[in-house]
Amino acid sequence: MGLDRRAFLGLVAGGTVGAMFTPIPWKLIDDASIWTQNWPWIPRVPKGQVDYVATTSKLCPAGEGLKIMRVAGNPILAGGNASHPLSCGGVSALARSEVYMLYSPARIKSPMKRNGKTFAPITWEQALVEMAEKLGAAKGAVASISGDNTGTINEVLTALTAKLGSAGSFMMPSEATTAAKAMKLMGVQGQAGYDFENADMVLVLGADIFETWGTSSRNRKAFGANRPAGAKPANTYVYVGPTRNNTAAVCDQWVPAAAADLGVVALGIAWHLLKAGATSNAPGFDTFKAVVNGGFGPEDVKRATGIAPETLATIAKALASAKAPLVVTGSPFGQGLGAAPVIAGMSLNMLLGRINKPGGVSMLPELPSVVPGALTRAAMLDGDLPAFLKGVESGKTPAPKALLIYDANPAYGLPEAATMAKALEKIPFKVSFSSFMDETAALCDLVLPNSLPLERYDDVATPYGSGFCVYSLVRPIQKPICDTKTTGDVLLGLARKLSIDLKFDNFQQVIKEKVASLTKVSGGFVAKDVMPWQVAAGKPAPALVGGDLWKALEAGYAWTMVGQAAQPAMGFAAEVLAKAVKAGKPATATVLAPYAQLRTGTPVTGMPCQDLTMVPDTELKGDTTFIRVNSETAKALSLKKGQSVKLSGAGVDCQAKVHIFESVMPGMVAAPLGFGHTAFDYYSQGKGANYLSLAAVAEEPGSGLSMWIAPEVKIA
Amino acid sequence: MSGQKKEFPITWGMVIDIDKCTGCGACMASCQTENNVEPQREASNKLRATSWMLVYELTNDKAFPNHDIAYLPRPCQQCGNPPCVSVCPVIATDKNENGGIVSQVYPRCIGCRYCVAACPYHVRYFGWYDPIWPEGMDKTLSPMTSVRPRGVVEKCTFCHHRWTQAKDAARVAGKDPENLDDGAYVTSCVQNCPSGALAFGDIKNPKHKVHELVKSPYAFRLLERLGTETQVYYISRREWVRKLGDNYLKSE
Amino acid sequence: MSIIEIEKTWYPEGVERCSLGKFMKWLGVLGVVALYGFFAMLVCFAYGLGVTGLDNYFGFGLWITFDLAVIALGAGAFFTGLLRYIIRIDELKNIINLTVIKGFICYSGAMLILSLDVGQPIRSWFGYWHPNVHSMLTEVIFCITCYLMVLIIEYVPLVLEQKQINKIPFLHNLAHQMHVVMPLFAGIGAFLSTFHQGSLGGMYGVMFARPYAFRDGFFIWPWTFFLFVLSAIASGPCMTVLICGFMEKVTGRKLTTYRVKSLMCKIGGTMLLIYTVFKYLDTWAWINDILPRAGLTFDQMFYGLIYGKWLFFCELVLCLIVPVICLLTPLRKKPFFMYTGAILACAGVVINRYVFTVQALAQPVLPFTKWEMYAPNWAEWATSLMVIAYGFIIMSLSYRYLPIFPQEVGLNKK
Repeated sequence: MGLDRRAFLGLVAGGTVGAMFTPIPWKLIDDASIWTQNWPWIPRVPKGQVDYVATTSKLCPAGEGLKIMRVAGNPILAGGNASHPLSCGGVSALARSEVYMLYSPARIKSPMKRNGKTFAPITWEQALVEMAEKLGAAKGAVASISGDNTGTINEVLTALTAKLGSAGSFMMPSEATTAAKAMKLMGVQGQAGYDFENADMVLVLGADIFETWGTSSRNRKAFGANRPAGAKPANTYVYVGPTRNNTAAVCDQWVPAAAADLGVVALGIAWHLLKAGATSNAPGFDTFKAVVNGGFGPEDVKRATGIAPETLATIAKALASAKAPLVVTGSPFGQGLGAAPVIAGMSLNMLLGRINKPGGVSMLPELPSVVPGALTRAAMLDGDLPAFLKGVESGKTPAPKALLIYDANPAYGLPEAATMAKALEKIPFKVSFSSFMDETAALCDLVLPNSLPLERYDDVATPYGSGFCVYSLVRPIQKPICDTKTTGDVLLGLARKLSIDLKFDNFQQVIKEKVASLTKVSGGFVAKDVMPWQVAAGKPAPALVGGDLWKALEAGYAWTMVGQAAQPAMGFAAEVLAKAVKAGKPATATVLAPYAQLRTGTPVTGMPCQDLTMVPDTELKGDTTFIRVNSETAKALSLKKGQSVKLSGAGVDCQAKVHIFESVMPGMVAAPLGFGHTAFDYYSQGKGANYLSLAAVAEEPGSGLSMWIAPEVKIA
Repeated sequence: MSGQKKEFPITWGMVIDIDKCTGCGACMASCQTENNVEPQREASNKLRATSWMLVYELTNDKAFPNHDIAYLPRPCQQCGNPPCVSVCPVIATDKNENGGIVSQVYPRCIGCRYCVAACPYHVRYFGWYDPIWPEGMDKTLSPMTSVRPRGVVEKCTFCHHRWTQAKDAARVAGKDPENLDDGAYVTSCVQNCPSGALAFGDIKNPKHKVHELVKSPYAFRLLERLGTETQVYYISRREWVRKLGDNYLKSE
Repeated sequence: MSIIEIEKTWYPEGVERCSLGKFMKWLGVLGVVALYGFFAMLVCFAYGLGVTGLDNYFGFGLWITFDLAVIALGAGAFFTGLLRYIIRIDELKNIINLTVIKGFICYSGAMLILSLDVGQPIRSWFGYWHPNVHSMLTEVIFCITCYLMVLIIEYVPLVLEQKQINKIPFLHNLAHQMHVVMPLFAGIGAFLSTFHQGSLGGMYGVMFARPYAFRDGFFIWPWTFFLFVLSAIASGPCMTVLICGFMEKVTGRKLTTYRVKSLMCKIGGTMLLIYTVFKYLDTWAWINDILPRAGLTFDQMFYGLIYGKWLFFCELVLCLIVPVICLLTPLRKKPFFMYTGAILACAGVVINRYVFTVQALAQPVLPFTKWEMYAPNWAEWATSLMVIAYGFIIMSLSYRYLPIFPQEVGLNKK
């Protein structure tokens, strides 16, 4: 029996109609729409118990306390910790990246040894053996660089370096370096702390306090807390600097002034204060008065800075009549400022009687050291890394035989990059403990990846700018994802191998000891119900129950202490001012005004991958970064909007496009930092240019400090 | 034709104090990770980049030294009369739930982008490619928000999942989930803003701070004259900033 | 018989066609274009719409402009059908077949592009399953898919009339029966088509937060609803004439009388005149009411060269007044003016659809945003060209094998 055509067609037609009455086609259509939302290549979200654990941000220099959301024990999101005094619930874009950076494509996945131009993975044991051998041979000429301003790890690093025969233990230059130098010259000890919470009038000289300067998240919370939405603000902020940066954008007033003139502006205000009768019994006041009256009258200042006399007179008057005025000085881009402007700014605080007062400045004592033989923070900050490396490059300073680099990226993050790279080349054995493949790690002989903050024990002790002593804990809430180790442990292991006694077996012990030492500091308390600024304002500090401190720190609370250490009176250091601050003629050359933002990361983190979206297309478009000039400057330099230009300085050329932005002073070229990486991953690499490399380093008269606050550039 | 404003007993609203916003982008960073937006390699192409929360730079267009700038964070405005909802052919977006949050149902969206065209605030983003996370980074995806395949439109939801969580928490605590305490439910951007420039709450609830804030003489909404009746309010004491919230004829 | 000989038996009765070789070369060229477009389409499906030049500002671009334009120009089909079958202008029988094929090509092509344009083509049927009755786009989805079916029903009898196919008695009868009920489908087609032409306009007119496109209206329909219908039925007949004229030029044969073409153009011109009146009124109201209400001025609707006012005047003067004069005055008797008028009328509609699609989105509504540029990229061009090549192929095959021009034999007697 055959199937003829007619029967076949009938069968097909009947079958089709029949199938329509079954659920099959409808189910298939329905399924199709379900597939479209469940393609196998679309990642699934994790499932499991949600909980929150506390730690502290180490990637972000603002040191915010964090609440980490976990799912089934895995970290998912980093949010601000409302009960942490440096966060108050806020979190910067950079601190937010702590979790996803665990999986950054730039992470170094295992220890590596240089093999010609590339790296070959090695085991930790091999790495230790290799390092012990090389460092043993380099004894007496071992240097170290740390980019961590706040960690106890520096004690381990500097103690080890010292035992190996130190050629210098350096901190990467920052606001803290400059401020430490200034405080030393003014004859005081400790770190200048600024009580924004209790200040009602803040004069900001250059410092980008709401972005890169110090405890910026806490600074903003303090600023915002006294400015209820839509109502008259209970505080006044005045910003003095070359651009209307993120800080100036919300300040009540922006006074345009070149970064090189910050000291002049400060002394110009001092002139008005002195004229109004301000006085001080601090050492050096008479010299100071003579210096100010001798060269910083309203007309002198106007000639040098272009600022109208009445502008400064008004500010001086506002400061003098404020209940709790505060003057804070810093670099508009977080580094490179000389000590003199900080001294000049601090002089205003002295004239206003703001030292060790609520809403003023306190010299915060350093927390007790626990590793024997370690350098103090003050001693580390006293080192001048750019000067050292320049010396090495020129041959004036003997090159160390070995260099240990912790949490630092000097090949990218220092001025005069070309010189610094040459200096690094002269050092025969370099070890990087970087977590990410940064520019410096790429130059090193050994790369021994540090575990990320969420994978290790670490700590944050009084970040620069904090108005109070503060200590918070960084603790592992995730097993290391890659074959990385806590550098503290590696260094202690190395010490054992070299038979050097550093007292501790592992880094957790160091941290525990550090915490234990805090219980002995008088006046310390855990900020829980009472915040340190409330104590500064007169509220009694709660007592510290010793045994609970570790638990409290683990729970995300911070140990804090208010007030300054007893010490000799602060002096005016007027002789430094006389040498370093000059109300001269304004610069005729084009001056670079770099600005930095947390969203572009630090030299150590590179560009956090999510933060690339935050960068506006007036800063980065494709692979080109933009410089900003106002229309007057653009006209003078014959620059057009969107034009491609070449910037030259310090023997380096950088490409850029022109963005016309009116809130830049005439003659200034504002340039974003944090771009132009040659290492890291595709989120950082090749995106724009590193304008910091254009900055030439000079020596500040009077203090001898390296500075690069107002680099001259050529534009073609 | 343009519909009417939809009223709900609870009206979640955001009040953004422009005078406190430094433009740092922390709100954007918070949003991206909270809502599982992929890290975008070519994020400098702003016409393609996805940013549910976006910080705009405002300028008074004057030359130095009279120039002034302000930053304006822009989440979905959750319009009372949303231009995007009535146009959707498949009801993939709707404003039908107490709270007044404009929903976006990803499995329903066919990706026609009519809503993208209809929204003047540019809050709607299309999935041009399938999202890709760097290897392993998908382990940090938030379980609260689904990952969108390519080809659908997505937008800010006022972190709607946080509302659900807040209601659950209220129930557990024996409180009324329909009458949450001020601050019990806030979006990720509001929570993490380091300047405290963002406030969030039920505009209709007198116990919530935003209830008063929206009445400020300095408060304004974006493009009010188009009748979108947004649930996001901005506050600035600067007149030029307020004027940039809408289009005005020379005579006005 | 050789294949060449057999092929000749497929031609309509009594006509001449070019050699098979030449025809294959022609098809080959078109095929290459179509294949390139097909490749682009596969790329779009495989990687997503990121391969196009579209973005979050221009969610609608070349594809939607192309769709709207071909649907407007394809409107000749329903309107001519309406005039022929319902209003019974008998003379149109000489060109009705061409309009049906044109309509079929335009609508099927538009559907193809639409399936590419939506981000989730597998979910296209949601428009039926989860319809939002308030959305103009829902109406468009309904009407376009239904109308495409109507066009298929109208096209099928034409195919069945092919000489060899028509020899089969069943199919012959089927074709005959379908012709008998054609007025019904013409009516349905006219209804569906009017609605979706209108809804396409309505789509823009309802965007009340886009002052460039927004219009007040009558009941639920913004004025653009009616304007789009009018402009479509004005340009549709003109497009038919242009296609006919083009085919005559290419084939070197007379296909219809000048009288028929002239009639079509007169119809188009009349509609264009009505459209012009309303378009001017609408523009006046837009400038003096809609825009000031939104706090915007006429000048703010234009920017630079690409979005300059020249396009506005092109559309409203050069492509409305001039063709009305060309098509409704005795000038129409001269082919140059008739064709110029027809071309301008069609160009005007294309400009109209373009500005409503692209300029409406480019115009910054938020005062702190700026005009953005849109340029379609290769993927969009290639797929659009594919549809055009596809149209040429269908039309070429139909012309070669189907008896679509009743007057052809008579006009070409030697």
